[in-house]
Amino acid sequence: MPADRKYEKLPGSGYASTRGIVVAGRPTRSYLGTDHLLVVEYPAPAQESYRRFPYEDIESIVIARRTGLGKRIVSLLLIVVLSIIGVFQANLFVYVMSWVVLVPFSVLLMLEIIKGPLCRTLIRTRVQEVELASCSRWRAGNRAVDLIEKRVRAAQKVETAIPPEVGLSSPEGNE
Amino acid sequence: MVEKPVQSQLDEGSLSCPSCSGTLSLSSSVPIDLQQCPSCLQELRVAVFPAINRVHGASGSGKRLLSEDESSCFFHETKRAEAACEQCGRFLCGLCETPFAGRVLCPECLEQAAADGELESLIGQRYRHGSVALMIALVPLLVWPLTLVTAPIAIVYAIKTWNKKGSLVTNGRLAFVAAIVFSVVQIGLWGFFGMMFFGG
Repeated sequence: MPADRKYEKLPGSGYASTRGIVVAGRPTRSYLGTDHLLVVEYPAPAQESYRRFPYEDIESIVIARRTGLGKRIVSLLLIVVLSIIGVFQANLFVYVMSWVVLVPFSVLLMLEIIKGPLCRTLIRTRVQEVELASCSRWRAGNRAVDLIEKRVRAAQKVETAIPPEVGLSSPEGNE
Repeated sequence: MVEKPVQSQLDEGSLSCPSCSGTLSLSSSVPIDLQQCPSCLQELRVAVFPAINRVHGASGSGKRLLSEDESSCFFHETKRAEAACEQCGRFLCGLCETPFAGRVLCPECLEQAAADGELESLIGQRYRHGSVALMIALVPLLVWPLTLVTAPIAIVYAIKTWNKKGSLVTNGRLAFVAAIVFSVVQIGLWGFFGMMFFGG
Protein backbone atom coordinates (compact mmCIF):
# COMPACT_ATOMS: atom_id res chain seq x y z
CA MET A 1 0.00 0.00 0.00
CA PRO A 2 1.45 3.43 -0.86
CA ALA A 3 2.38 5.49 2.19
CA ASP A 4 -0.10 8.27 1.34
CA ARG A 5 -3.07 5.90 1.14
CA LYS A 6 -4.69 4.52 4.25
CA TYR A 7 -6.88 1.95 2.56
CA GLU A 8 -6.25 -0.73 -0.04
CA LYS A 9 -9.18 -1.65 -2.25
CA LEU A 10 -10.20 -5.30 -2.19
CA PRO A 11 -11.25 -7.14 -5.32
CA GLY A 12 -14.97 -7.38 -5.97
CA SER A 13 -18.01 -5.23 -5.48
CA GLY A 14 -21.64 -5.99 -4.85
CA TYR A 15 -24.95 -4.70 -3.61
CA ALA A 16 -25.98 -4.71 0.03
CA SER A 17 -29.65 -5.60 0.21
CA THR A 18 -32.08 -3.05 1.55
CA ARG A 19 -34.62 -4.90 3.69
CA GLY A 20 -33.95 -8.06 1.74
CA ILE A 21 -34.35 -6.45 -1.67
CA VAL A 22 -31.03 -6.74 -3.49
CA VAL A 23 -32.29 -4.92 -6.60
CA ALA A 24 -32.76 -1.75 -4.54
CA GLY A 25 -29.50 -2.38 -2.71
CA ARG A 26 -26.65 -0.05 -2.05
CA PRO A 27 -23.38 -0.50 -4.00
CA THR A 28 -20.69 -1.82 -1.66
CA ARG A 29 -16.92 -2.10 -1.72
CA SER A 30 -14.43 -3.30 0.87
CA TYR A 31 -11.05 -1.88 1.79
CA LEU A 32 -8.15 -3.08 3.91
CA GLY A 33 -7.10 -0.61 6.55
CA THR A 34 -4.09 -0.80 8.83
CA ASP A 35 -5.99 -2.42 11.69
CA HIS A 36 -9.49 -2.96 10.35
CA LEU A 37 -11.54 -4.03 7.38
CA LEU A 38 -13.61 -1.13 6.07
CA VAL A 39 -16.87 -1.81 4.29
CA VAL A 40 -18.09 1.20 2.33
CA GLU A 41 -21.68 1.46 1.20
CA TYR A 42 -22.92 4.13 -1.17
CA PRO A 43 -26.51 4.97 -0.13
CA ALA A 44 -26.55 8.00 -2.47
CA PRO A 45 -24.36 8.95 -5.45
CA ALA A 46 -22.09 11.25 -3.46
CA GLN A 47 -22.44 9.70 -0.02
CA GLU A 48 -20.40 6.98 1.67
CA SER A 49 -21.26 5.14 4.87
CA TYR A 50 -18.69 3.08 6.72
CA ARG A 51 -18.61 -0.11 8.77
CA ARG A 52 -15.42 -1.27 10.43
CA PHE A 53 -14.33 -4.76 11.43
CA PRO A 54 -11.11 -4.73 13.50
CA TYR A 55 -8.86 -7.61 12.40
CA GLU A 56 -8.42 -8.60 16.03
CA ASP A 57 -12.15 -9.17 16.45
CA ILE A 58 -12.81 -11.23 13.33
CA GLU A 59 -13.61 -14.79 14.38
CA SER A 60 -14.36 -16.39 11.03
CA ILE A 61 -15.05 -15.83 7.37
CA VAL A 62 -17.21 -18.31 5.49
CA ILE A 63 -17.63 -18.07 1.75
CA ALA A 64 -20.13 -20.29 -0.07
CA ARG A 65 -20.33 -20.75 -3.80
CA ARG A 66 -23.71 -20.28 -5.48
CA THR A 67 -24.44 -21.60 -8.91
CA GLY A 68 -26.70 -18.83 -10.20
CA LEU A 69 -27.84 -21.48 -12.65
CA GLY A 70 -31.46 -20.28 -12.70
CA LYS A 71 -30.50 -16.84 -14.03
CA ARG A 72 -28.32 -18.32 -16.74
CA ILE A 73 -30.92 -20.84 -17.87
CA VAL A 74 -33.61 -18.13 -18.09
CA SER A 75 -31.23 -15.86 -20.08
CA LEU A 76 -30.20 -18.71 -22.37
CA LEU A 77 -33.83 -19.71 -22.99
CA LEU A 78 -34.73 -16.09 -23.83
CA ILE A 79 -31.81 -15.88 -26.24
CA VAL A 80 -32.79 -19.13 -27.96
CA VAL A 81 -36.46 -18.11 -28.23
CA LEU A 82 -35.62 -14.63 -29.54
CA SER A 83 -33.13 -16.06 -32.02
CA ILE A 84 -35.76 -18.44 -33.40
CA ILE A 85 -38.30 -15.60 -33.65
CA GLY A 86 -35.70 -13.33 -35.27
CA VAL A 87 -34.46 -15.83 -37.84
CA PHE A 88 -37.84 -17.16 -38.99
CA GLN A 89 -39.75 -13.88 -38.93
CA ALA A 90 -40.82 -12.32 -42.21
CA ASN A 91 -42.09 -9.12 -40.61
CA LEU A 92 -39.20 -6.64 -40.62
CA PHE A 93 -40.33 -4.80 -37.46
CA VAL A 94 -40.58 -7.99 -35.38
CA TYR A 95 -37.28 -9.17 -36.90
CA VAL A 96 -35.49 -5.93 -35.87
CA MET A 97 -37.13 -5.78 -32.44
CA SER A 98 -36.20 -9.35 -31.60
CA TRP A 99 -32.56 -8.57 -32.40
CA VAL A 100 -32.76 -5.32 -30.39
CA VAL A 101 -33.76 -7.39 -27.35
CA LEU A 102 -31.47 -10.31 -28.20
CA VAL A 103 -28.21 -8.38 -28.33
CA PRO A 104 -28.33 -6.86 -24.80
CA PHE A 105 -29.41 -10.21 -23.33
CA SER A 106 -26.51 -11.97 -25.04
CA VAL A 107 -24.06 -9.34 -23.83
CA LEU A 108 -25.39 -9.61 -20.28
CA LEU A 109 -25.14 -13.39 -20.37
CA MET A 110 -21.57 -13.19 -21.66
CA LEU A 111 -20.66 -10.74 -18.89
CA GLU A 112 -22.28 -13.01 -16.32
CA ILE A 113 -20.25 -15.97 -17.58
CA ILE A 114 -17.01 -13.97 -17.64
CA LYS A 115 -17.53 -12.69 -14.10
CA GLY A 116 -17.86 -16.26 -12.88
CA PRO A 117 -20.02 -17.98 -10.31
CA LEU A 118 -21.73 -16.12 -7.52
CA CYS A 119 -21.02 -16.57 -3.84
CA ARG A 120 -22.16 -15.36 -0.46
CA THR A 121 -19.70 -14.38 2.25
CA LEU A 122 -20.35 -14.13 5.97
CA ILE A 123 -17.94 -12.44 8.33
CA ARG A 124 -18.31 -13.09 12.02
CA THR A 125 -17.10 -11.11 14.99
CA ARG A 126 -17.92 -11.64 18.63
CA VAL A 127 -21.14 -9.66 18.43
CA GLN A 128 -22.34 -9.96 14.86
CA GLU A 129 -22.41 -12.07 11.75
CA VAL A 130 -22.87 -9.99 8.62
CA GLU A 131 -22.79 -10.56 4.90
CA LEU A 132 -19.84 -9.08 3.05
CA ALA A 133 -21.77 -7.89 0.03
CA SER A 134 -18.64 -6.88 -1.89
CA CYS A 135 -17.57 -10.53 -2.04
CA SER A 136 -20.39 -11.63 -4.29
CA ARG A 137 -18.35 -13.45 -6.95
CA TRP A 138 -16.52 -16.67 -6.14
CA ARG A 139 -13.18 -15.82 -7.78
CA ALA A 140 -12.97 -12.19 -6.64
CA GLY A 141 -14.39 -13.18 -3.24
CA ASN A 142 -11.68 -15.78 -2.73
CA ARG A 143 -8.98 -13.30 -3.67
CA ALA A 144 -10.44 -10.79 -1.21
CA VAL A 145 -10.70 -13.40 1.55
CA ASP A 146 -7.03 -14.35 0.94
CA LEU A 147 -5.99 -10.75 1.55
CA ILE A 148 -8.26 -10.31 4.59
CA GLU A 149 -7.02 -13.63 6.03
CA LYS A 150 -3.39 -12.48 5.85
CA ARG A 151 -4.18 -9.31 7.79
CA VAL A 152 -6.32 -11.12 10.37
CA ARG A 153 -3.68 -13.79 10.92
CA ALA A 154 -1.02 -11.11 11.35
CA ALA A 155 -3.23 -9.18 13.79
CA GLN A 156 -4.08 -12.28 15.79
CA LYS A 157 -0.49 -13.53 15.52
CA VAL A 158 -1.24 -16.84 13.80
CA GLU A 159 1.87 -18.48 12.39
CA THR A 160 0.34 -21.58 10.81
CA ALA A 161 -1.91 -21.40 7.77
CA ILE A 162 -4.62 -23.43 9.48
CA PRO A 163 -5.42 -22.88 13.14
CA PRO A 164 -5.09 -26.20 14.95
CA GLU A 165 -7.88 -27.98 16.78
CA VAL A 166 -10.59 -26.58 14.57
CA GLY A 167 -12.31 -28.22 11.65
CA LEU A 168 -15.67 -28.66 10.03
CA SER A 169 -17.93 -31.55 10.69
CA SER A 170 -21.49 -32.31 9.87
CA PRO A 171 -23.70 -31.57 12.87
CA GLU A 172 -26.13 -34.17 14.04
CA GLY A 173 -29.48 -34.08 12.35
CA ASN A 174 -28.16 -31.93 9.57
CA GLU A 175 -27.49 -34.67 7.09
CA MET B 1 -11.27 -10.45 41.98
CA VAL B 2 -11.85 -12.90 39.15
CA GLU B 3 -13.97 -11.34 36.43
CA LYS B 4 -16.74 -13.44 34.99
CA PRO B 5 -16.14 -14.27 31.33
CA VAL B 6 -18.69 -12.87 28.93
CA GLN B 7 -20.12 -15.44 26.55
CA SER B 8 -20.16 -14.72 22.85
CA GLN B 9 -23.54 -13.44 21.73
CA LEU B 10 -23.41 -15.79 18.76
CA ASP B 11 -23.60 -19.58 18.87
CA GLU B 12 -20.41 -21.00 20.30
CA GLY B 13 -18.74 -23.80 18.41
CA SER B 14 -20.72 -23.39 15.21
CA LEU B 15 -20.87 -21.23 12.13
CA SER B 16 -23.64 -20.56 9.62
CA CYS B 17 -23.54 -21.66 6.02
CA PRO B 18 -23.93 -18.47 3.93
CA SER B 19 -25.89 -20.41 1.34
CA CYS B 20 -28.53 -22.28 3.38
CA SER B 21 -27.99 -20.78 6.87
CA GLY B 22 -27.45 -24.33 8.13
CA THR B 23 -25.20 -24.95 11.09
CA LEU B 24 -21.56 -25.83 10.53
CA SER B 25 -20.13 -27.38 13.68
CA LEU B 26 -16.50 -26.88 14.51
CA SER B 27 -14.56 -29.98 15.48
CA SER B 28 -10.99 -31.22 15.39
CA SER B 29 -11.64 -34.02 12.94
CA VAL B 30 -11.36 -32.33 9.58
CA PRO B 31 -8.82 -29.70 8.51
CA ILE B 32 -10.29 -26.49 7.20
CA ASP B 33 -10.06 -26.03 3.45
CA LEU B 34 -12.46 -25.88 0.54
CA GLN B 35 -15.34 -28.09 1.60
CA GLN B 36 -18.99 -28.73 1.14
CA CYS B 37 -21.80 -27.65 3.39
CA PRO B 38 -23.25 -30.83 4.92
CA SER B 39 -26.79 -29.45 4.47
CA CYS B 40 -26.91 -27.85 1.01
CA LEU B 41 -23.73 -29.45 -0.42
CA GLN B 42 -22.54 -26.09 -1.75
CA GLU B 43 -18.78 -25.57 -2.03
CA LEU B 44 -17.49 -23.74 1.01
CA ARG B 45 -14.35 -22.08 2.19
CA VAL B 46 -14.05 -21.52 5.90
CA ALA B 47 -11.43 -19.43 7.65
CA VAL B 48 -11.52 -19.61 11.43
CA PHE B 49 -9.30 -17.41 13.55
CA PRO B 50 -8.13 -17.69 17.17
CA ALA B 51 -10.47 -14.87 18.21
CA ILE B 52 -13.28 -17.44 18.13
CA ASN B 53 -11.77 -19.10 21.21
CA ARG B 54 -11.07 -15.87 23.03
CA VAL B 55 -12.67 -15.49 26.45
CA HIS B 56 -13.77 -11.94 27.02
CA GLY B 57 -13.56 -10.49 30.46
CA ALA B 58 -16.34 -8.23 31.73
CA SER B 59 -15.39 -4.56 31.74
CA GLY B 60 -14.39 -3.24 35.14
CA SER B 61 -16.98 -1.43 37.18
CA GLY B 62 -14.40 0.54 39.15
CA LYS B 63 -12.94 -0.05 42.61
CA ARG B 64 -14.28 1.67 45.70
CA LEU B 65 -12.23 4.29 47.56
CA LEU B 66 -10.47 2.74 50.57
CA SER B 67 -9.38 6.00 52.21
CA GLU B 68 -10.00 9.73 51.77
CA ASP B 69 -6.38 10.27 50.65
CA GLU B 70 -6.97 8.44 47.41
CA SER B 71 -7.98 10.32 44.27
CA SER B 72 -11.51 9.66 43.15
CA CYS B 73 -13.07 9.44 39.73
CA PHE B 74 -14.37 12.75 38.34
CA PHE B 75 -17.69 11.14 37.42
CA HIS B 76 -18.02 8.75 40.41
CA GLU B 77 -16.94 10.23 43.77
CA THR B 78 -16.96 6.88 45.55
CA LYS B 79 -14.72 5.12 42.99
CA ARG B 80 -10.93 5.12 43.01
CA ALA B 81 -9.14 6.89 40.11
CA GLU B 82 -7.27 4.40 37.97
CA ALA B 83 -6.36 6.51 34.94
CA ALA B 84 -6.48 10.04 33.59
CA CYS B 85 -8.16 11.19 30.39
CA GLU B 86 -5.48 12.04 27.84
CA GLN B 87 -7.66 14.81 26.42
CA CYS B 88 -8.95 16.72 29.47
CA GLY B 89 -6.86 15.23 32.29
CA ARG B 90 -9.81 14.21 34.48
CA PHE B 91 -9.26 11.25 36.79
CA LEU B 92 -11.25 8.19 35.78
CA CYS B 93 -12.32 4.97 37.48
CA GLY B 94 -12.29 1.58 35.77
CA LEU B 95 -15.81 2.15 34.51
CA CYS B 96 -15.19 5.55 32.91
CA GLU B 97 -11.76 4.75 31.50
CA THR B 98 -12.34 4.23 27.77
CA PRO B 99 -9.38 2.95 25.77
CA PHE B 100 -9.86 4.02 22.18
CA ALA B 101 -7.45 4.00 19.22
CA GLY B 102 -4.43 3.74 21.52
CA ARG B 103 -5.58 6.54 23.83
CA VAL B 104 -7.45 6.64 27.11
CA LEU B 105 -10.38 9.04 27.02
CA CYS B 106 -13.26 9.89 29.31
CA PRO B 107 -16.80 9.33 27.96
CA GLU B 108 -17.37 13.07 27.49
CA CYS B 109 -14.20 13.59 25.45
CA LEU B 110 -14.96 10.52 23.39
CA GLU B 111 -18.46 11.80 22.66
CA GLN B 112 -17.14 15.26 21.81
CA ALA B 113 -14.43 13.86 19.54
CA ALA B 114 -16.98 11.71 17.74
CA ALA B 115 -19.30 14.70 17.28
CA ASP B 116 -16.46 16.87 15.94
CA GLY B 117 -15.26 14.14 13.58
CA GLU B 118 -11.79 14.21 15.16
CA LEU B 119 -11.57 10.44 15.56
CA GLU B 120 -11.45 8.89 12.14
CA SER B 121 -12.36 5.49 13.55
CA LEU B 122 -15.77 6.84 14.60
CA ILE B 123 -16.73 8.49 11.33
CA GLY B 124 -19.89 6.79 10.12
CA GLN B 125 -20.43 8.60 6.86
CA ARG B 126 -18.95 11.22 4.60
CA TYR B 127 -19.93 13.14 1.49
CA ARG B 128 -17.78 13.20 -1.62
CA HIS B 129 -17.93 16.92 -2.23
CA GLY B 130 -16.09 16.58 -5.53
CA SER B 131 -18.83 14.30 -6.83
CA VAL B 132 -21.50 16.72 -5.61
CA ALA B 133 -19.79 19.56 -7.48
CA LEU B 134 -19.52 17.38 -10.59
CA MET B 135 -23.21 16.50 -10.39
CA ILE B 136 -24.13 20.19 -10.07
CA ALA B 137 -22.04 20.81 -13.18
CA LEU B 138 -23.26 17.88 -15.29
CA VAL B 139 -26.84 16.92 -14.36
CA PRO B 140 -28.35 20.29 -15.49
CA LEU B 141 -27.02 19.59 -19.00
CA LEU B 142 -30.22 17.53 -19.40
CA VAL B 143 -32.09 20.84 -19.20
CA TRP B 144 -29.27 22.92 -20.63
CA PRO B 145 -30.61 26.49 -20.02
CA LEU B 146 -30.19 25.74 -16.30
CA THR B 147 -26.42 25.63 -16.76
CA LEU B 148 -26.40 29.43 -16.88
CA VAL B 149 -27.14 29.32 -13.15
CA THR B 150 -25.66 25.96 -12.12
CA ALA B 151 -22.19 26.37 -13.70
CA PRO B 152 -21.20 29.28 -11.40
CA ILE B 153 -22.80 27.44 -8.45
CA ALA B 154 -20.67 24.35 -9.20
CA ILE B 155 -17.49 26.45 -9.28
CA VAL B 156 -18.32 28.20 -6.00
CA TYR B 157 -19.25 24.88 -4.36
CA ALA B 158 -16.04 23.21 -5.57
CA ILE B 159 -13.86 26.04 -4.27
CA LYS B 160 -15.70 26.24 -0.92
CA THR B 161 -15.52 22.51 -0.24
CA TRP B 162 -12.04 21.90 -1.76
CA ASN B 163 -10.43 21.54 1.66
CA LYS B 164 -13.39 19.93 3.45
CA LYS B 165 -12.91 16.38 4.67
CA GLY B 166 -14.39 14.02 2.12
CA SER B 167 -14.14 10.33 1.34
CA LEU B 168 -11.95 8.15 3.55
CA VAL B 169 -11.01 5.89 0.66
CA THR B 170 -10.62 8.07 -2.41
CA ASN B 171 -8.83 11.32 -3.05
CA GLY B 172 -11.63 13.02 -4.96
CA ARG B 173 -9.54 15.93 -6.27
CA LEU B 174 -10.11 14.79 -9.86
CA ALA B 175 -13.86 15.26 -9.45
CA PHE B 176 -13.31 18.82 -8.18
CA VAL B 177 -11.06 19.64 -11.14
CA ALA B 178 -13.50 18.06 -13.61
CA ALA B 179 -16.41 20.02 -12.08
CA ILE B 180 -14.51 23.31 -12.37
CA VAL B 181 -13.37 22.57 -15.93
CA PHE B 182 -16.87 21.60 -17.11
CA SER B 183 -18.38 24.66 -15.44
CA VAL B 184 -15.78 27.00 -16.95
CA VAL B 185 -16.47 25.50 -20.41
CA GLN B 186 -20.22 25.99 -19.90
CA ILE B 187 -19.72 29.61 -18.84
CA GLY B 188 -17.37 30.10 -21.79
CA LEU B 189 -19.99 28.73 -24.19
CA TRP B 190 -22.66 30.99 -22.69
CA GLY B 191 -20.29 33.93 -23.13
CA PHE B 192 -19.48 32.93 -26.70
CA PHE B 193 -23.10 32.54 -27.76
CA GLY B 194 -24.02 35.69 -25.85
CA MET B 195 -21.42 37.62 -27.84
CA MET B 196 -22.69 36.04 -31.09
CA PHE B 197 -26.31 37.01 -30.55
CA PHE B 198 -26.09 40.26 -28.62
CA GLY B 199 -22.62 41.52 -29.43
CA GLY B 200 -23.48 42.39 -32.96
